[in-house]
Amino acid sequence: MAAFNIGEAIQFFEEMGVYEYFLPFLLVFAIVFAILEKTQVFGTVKLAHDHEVPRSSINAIVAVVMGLLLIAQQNIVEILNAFLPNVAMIIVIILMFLLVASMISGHGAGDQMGGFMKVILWIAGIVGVIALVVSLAPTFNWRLSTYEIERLVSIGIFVLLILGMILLVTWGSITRQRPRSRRQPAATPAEPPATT
Amino acid sequence: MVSALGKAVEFFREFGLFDVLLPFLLVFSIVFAILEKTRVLGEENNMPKRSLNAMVGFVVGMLVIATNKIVNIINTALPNITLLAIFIVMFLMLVGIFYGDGTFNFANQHSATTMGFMIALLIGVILIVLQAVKMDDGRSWLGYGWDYLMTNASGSVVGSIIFGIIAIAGVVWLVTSMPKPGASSPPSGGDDE
Repeated sequence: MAAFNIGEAIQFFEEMGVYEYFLPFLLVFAIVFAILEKTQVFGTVKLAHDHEVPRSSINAIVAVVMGLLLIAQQNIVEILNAFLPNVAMIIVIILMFLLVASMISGHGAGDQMGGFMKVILWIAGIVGVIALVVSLAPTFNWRLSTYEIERLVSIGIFVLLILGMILLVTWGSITRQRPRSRRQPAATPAEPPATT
Repeated sequence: MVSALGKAVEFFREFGLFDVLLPFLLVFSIVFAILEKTRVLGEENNMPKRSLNAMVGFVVGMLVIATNKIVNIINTALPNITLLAIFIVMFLMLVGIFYGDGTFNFANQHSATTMGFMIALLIGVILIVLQAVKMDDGRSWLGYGWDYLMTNASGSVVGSIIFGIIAIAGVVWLVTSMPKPGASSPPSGGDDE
């Protein structure tokens, strides 16, 4: 009896087209169906005891159609297949970072951390996004010519200049009005000690 | 070598599943669901008129599949929009690593960031649709717009459009960020509107 070989099994699945057709379809179906069920875009159906549930049949049809339309476009499937392993790798990298960071910070989830650790987590998040974009760039063939870069930079500078001017003019009036609204609720807790 | 599933997809493509059946099914189900939800065509015993809704959905679906250009736009744009949704889910998955247990409610915890994401998504979807719509010479609307932007970046039209967008965005931001005059007054005063 031949021994089971996981490499050969994966090879078999690859030859069958599981990675090119079945898995992308399953992923898209699951994500689209979950989004439609969560957002209830197509409304709800009233069951007994006034219990409302999303229109799952219509959601399922739309999700199936989306999945099938996606697997018909193999270039998009290729982007997905190149992109998803990178995301998994970034997740592992971030988890490794959190592992190291938690040695310093101690107990608690990322959103409960404060101060220096919060800054580090923000940097990690930004690095994660940049890594995502960099991992996507070859699959999308993102390349701009020098002329296009020059044009984009000039437009960007123009936009930044105007935004900066708007900020410069309005910042004073906004910061002048904000502390007033913040100071007011702070005055109420001070009252009980005064009465006692 | 074409895989077994690949052959099946190829068979379905030749059969017309992707050009006729799927777009019809999509349009029919969306139109039917909207009509059922909004009850535009009226009610019968406190229920939507299902047969009428189905008939309108069927007709709209048939009209769509008869228009080759629209089917092409659907077939090109929808997979890209789905791809965008997958990117967002992956991003949320990455962000979710830093959060604790429980339902990850990004919209409530970061409302301003969510608004920014929604604007970015709207722009993304508009760009995808513009890329999917082709002109008679085969170029997409997005490609035409990009070429126009690059060749006329220093021109008065592009400059005034950018200036207009920034001015409108600036005014909207200014108006929404400033606290209303009645906001700091106690609720009993209540003349916010």
